[in-house]
Amino acid sequence: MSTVPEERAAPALADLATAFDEMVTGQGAVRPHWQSLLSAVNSLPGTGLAERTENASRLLAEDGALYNAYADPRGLGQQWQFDLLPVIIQAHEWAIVEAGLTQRARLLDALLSDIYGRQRLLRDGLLPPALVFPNPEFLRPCRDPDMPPVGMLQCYAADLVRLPDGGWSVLADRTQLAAGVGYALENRRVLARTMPEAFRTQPVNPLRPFFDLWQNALQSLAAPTRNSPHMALLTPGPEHDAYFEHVYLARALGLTSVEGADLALRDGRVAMKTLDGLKPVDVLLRRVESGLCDPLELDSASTDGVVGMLQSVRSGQLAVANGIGSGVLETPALAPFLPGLCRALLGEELLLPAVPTLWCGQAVALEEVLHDIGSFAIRRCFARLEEPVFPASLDQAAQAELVDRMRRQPHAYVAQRLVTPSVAPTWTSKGLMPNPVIVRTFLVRDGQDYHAMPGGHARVPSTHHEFFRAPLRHHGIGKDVWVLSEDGSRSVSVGAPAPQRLAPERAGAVLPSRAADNLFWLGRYVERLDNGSRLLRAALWRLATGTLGPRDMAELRAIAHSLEHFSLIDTAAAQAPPDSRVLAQALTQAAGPEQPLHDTFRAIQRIGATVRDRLSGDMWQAINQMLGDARRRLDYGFGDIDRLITALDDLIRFSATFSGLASENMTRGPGWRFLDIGRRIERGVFVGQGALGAFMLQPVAWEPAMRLALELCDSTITYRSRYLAALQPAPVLDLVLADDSNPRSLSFQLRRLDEHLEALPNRTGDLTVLPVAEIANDLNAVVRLFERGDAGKHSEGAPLAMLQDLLDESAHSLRSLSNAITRTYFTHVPAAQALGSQRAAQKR
Amino acid sequence: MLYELSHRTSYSYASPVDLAWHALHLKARALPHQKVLSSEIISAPRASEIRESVDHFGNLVTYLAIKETHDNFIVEVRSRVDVAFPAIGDAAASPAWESVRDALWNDGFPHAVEASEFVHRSPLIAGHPELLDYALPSFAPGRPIAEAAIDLTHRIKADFAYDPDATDISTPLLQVLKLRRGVCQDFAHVQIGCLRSLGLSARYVSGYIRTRPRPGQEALRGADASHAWVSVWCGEAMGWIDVDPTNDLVVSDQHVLIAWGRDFSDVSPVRGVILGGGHHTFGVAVDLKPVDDAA
Repeated sequence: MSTVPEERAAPALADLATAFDEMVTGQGAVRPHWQSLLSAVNSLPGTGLAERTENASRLLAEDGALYNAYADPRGLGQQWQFDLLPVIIQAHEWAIVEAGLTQRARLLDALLSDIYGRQRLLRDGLLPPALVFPNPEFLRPCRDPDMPPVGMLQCYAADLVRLPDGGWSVLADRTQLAAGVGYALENRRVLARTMPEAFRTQPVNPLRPFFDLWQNALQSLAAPTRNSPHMALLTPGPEHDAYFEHVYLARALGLTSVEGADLALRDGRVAMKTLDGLKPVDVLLRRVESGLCDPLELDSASTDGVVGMLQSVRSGQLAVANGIGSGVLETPALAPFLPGLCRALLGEELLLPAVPTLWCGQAVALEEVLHDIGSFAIRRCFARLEEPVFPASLDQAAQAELVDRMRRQPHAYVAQRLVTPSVAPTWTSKGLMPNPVIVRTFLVRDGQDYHAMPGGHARVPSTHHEFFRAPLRHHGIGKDVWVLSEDGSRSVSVGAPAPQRLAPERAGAVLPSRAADNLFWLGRYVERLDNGSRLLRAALWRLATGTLGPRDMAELRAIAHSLEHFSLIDTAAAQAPPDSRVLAQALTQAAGPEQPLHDTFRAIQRIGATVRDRLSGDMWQAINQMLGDARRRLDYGFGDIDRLITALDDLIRFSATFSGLASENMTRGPGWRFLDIGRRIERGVFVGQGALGAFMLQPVAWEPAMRLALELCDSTITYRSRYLAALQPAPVLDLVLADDSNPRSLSFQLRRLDEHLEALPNRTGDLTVLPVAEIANDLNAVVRLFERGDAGKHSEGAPLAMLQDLLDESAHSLRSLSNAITRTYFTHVPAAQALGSQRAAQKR
Repeated sequence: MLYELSHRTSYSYASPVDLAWHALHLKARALPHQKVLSSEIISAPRASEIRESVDHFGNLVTYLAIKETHDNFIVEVRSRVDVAFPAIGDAAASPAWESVRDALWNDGFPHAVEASEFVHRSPLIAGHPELLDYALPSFAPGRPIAEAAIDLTHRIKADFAYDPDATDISTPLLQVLKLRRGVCQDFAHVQIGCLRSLGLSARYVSGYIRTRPRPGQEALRGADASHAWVSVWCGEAMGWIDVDPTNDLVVSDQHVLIAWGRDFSDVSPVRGVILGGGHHTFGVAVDLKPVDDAA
């Protein structure tokens, strides 16, 4: 008898024959609570869902809703896929889930307190020590025998699946950061804007009250002596996958977003470095993993946290949510012990079951797993990010090897039974298809009890691998989750808290030093991009005319000189004959990849992301959308003069839009000032060294130099309207240098800088480096010299030398000012390093 | 035996340190067989903040913050400690090692929970089959655990050469096992790794050993700096016994115990984070002398 080779594959995740269908009953009828959504979808105008999906995609892109956006050097994050059809949960079903979730949160919280406190559960034989002691998320420095019995778990997320019997089970507990809640809010926002008509059909619980509650809950964590506690969100920074969510969440909760480098320990308190000095932080919502929070007592290589955070928590000066060490409960191996723990800790039966899970550290469980190993996913207890193994898809040898490893170290393994999640409709190119869904739900503790957000973040995994994966970015398609309201009143299931009474505050509130630093450089880079684009465009315009006359040649030579000054082309190109291929090639490639202009782009996008919470929404859009589009056009135009000119026009327009928005939409606080200081310094340097660069050449070609100065300062039309036609040095120089009313003149930049410096806090002697009055006098004097001089063109030697000195001197003063600002306001601390590699019995 | 202890650590930095924080495991913990009569920590520059606490293992930790800019950092602990580890009793009468192991696991719920913490791998002591291979000759089936552990201590002293130049803190355990050389910390890690590979519980002990030997006795190794040895769990009746693989000794009254943990990383004497400093060098001077020896 011949044997057919056995097909070895994990059972399919989607099993339509047995899966619970969220939308359709076993009899093939659409469940009543889906009917209104379906009819709304069916009556969408135009191409219906296809068009709306595209809109949603565009909205997500506009919001910068990306995973990993800034870690990628090309700035291309992975946009998450979004399906417009929500998962709908009825009020009475949700009530059951909610009760189960709040109980589970209470249970996990009590468990955390015991693990980090008295450890009674280990001694009483209710919790296996092998799930705590070898767990890398059990952080011994966080042990505290006086641990309060509740409150370490402030926010909590649970991944839920609905099994074929229609009941919900917990697939995973997220106790470390409860990530994903910001995505849920963003999904809802996008859906509400993309398919508003769907929401009109039934009472969907809003999400916003949950965030209000959370905000108040955070406030209540502060020591009672703090009247108006300072609360911040600690993020690892723009390189982190979920940075978008961190910024989004900080905004939704009204928190200052900070990175480790923004914090310092002073007098036992964690404080934020701000323009006004160190400002203590009372409450920290952390998006940094526990082990990275304190390099003194935890991972010494971490730069994401701050030295002394644990001390500060121990002494009650700082509240951290979730408590550091909360990730210890994320191991799936805890699941089998939760029913017993629930009885012991809460005196209640566990309401919400987990998907069937067995910890192999007990003989009976191990045998049960090995007996039927093909129907389990096997994972190591504490390897959160490791893919599980699916024995059903292993060949015989590999399976035997796995069994051998499990027998040698049974306590290190946990087995989760493969289950069939429910299916919900997902829009595909083939129409609506039933696909498996996992729902992530979120809870927050408000001091009394836990409250579940009436909604969530659903995802559509396509394989068992995706099903078990932890980080959201690998989760497949995302969906909104609707929890319907019982009485149709759209009431909020969370008790609406009394709003905190706020004292009005005017601009000038806390600005972290790093934010000031970033805004300053954002201002400089946006202006630098504008200047570079103007120079390059001026050169390309002349090249585009085809044959070059003597005037074009002279002007090109002058522009090339300025381009070289700002490192946009190299010396060889700048010195080549203007009609040579060398210069043409350098010009058409100056905006290419790896060139300085590109670096400026990237800097704007990177910095823009880090100060996003300080910009208006429209400013962020300008950076995210306009700049992104311009960049694509620039890449497309690489090497082609006409396309490049169009792309440079876009860039100049971006800069104008950004500045307009800054001047109209930002309050006149220190943030706006630093942005504007950066811009004024950069522009001041440009006027002297770029726009008037032609005056620095020997000999000066007067006509072209004057024409260029007006063109690059965008002042040609003003000049014409004032002086009709003839170009003469005195009026030209007056307009671009000394005229306070021209926003592109050097004098204008200096006056604005003077005003800004006057208004900054904590000024030191360093900042008096800008002799504004003196330079302004000199500028006027130079203009008068030219005015009095011979109207001819070649005898202005003495005034010219003075002009050249003055331009050099003003550029030097501006650069000194930039350095002085950096020294005074932007704390650049020396790098931290860890000590402690000292070992026993080492001779020195 | 009453001892006077001094342990001085000095760091010298290539460039100034603006701020420094240190976490110190330098003060001896009190035990039934070890009385700490006095203990003080002095530093230069002086700390602007000092806090003390007890860590997860019950060890004393001292935290210092130094705000003064400095090129050198010196920290010294001076203690008077009266120590007398109890005699371990009859090693041959201790339980068979397998029974101790089984009780430590007990289908997930061990009786001696505190001891069960030290059966697992730890940051500096990974599991390697080579450790088991090295341990097995001492652990014949049914052999009394204390006898087997002392035999293992004896073999490590015999097989491994004391050589401070052969290894440093970053030398992996497996490398030490292959080289058969190292210092007390390496030997303690080897012995702990061997015991854990058998499913037994062993903890890393940090402390000191008397600087000058008793008259007529051989000089003890590991006396010029912090010393390290091993506690082995021998079941609930016998409890922990302390053995010193560097000197092939059962610890009695020549050692002063500071702290214990899973391995060196839990009890590093001086940990710290500094801002600035650049390259640094450090030196250690330890003196542990009986009070009646004092001149």
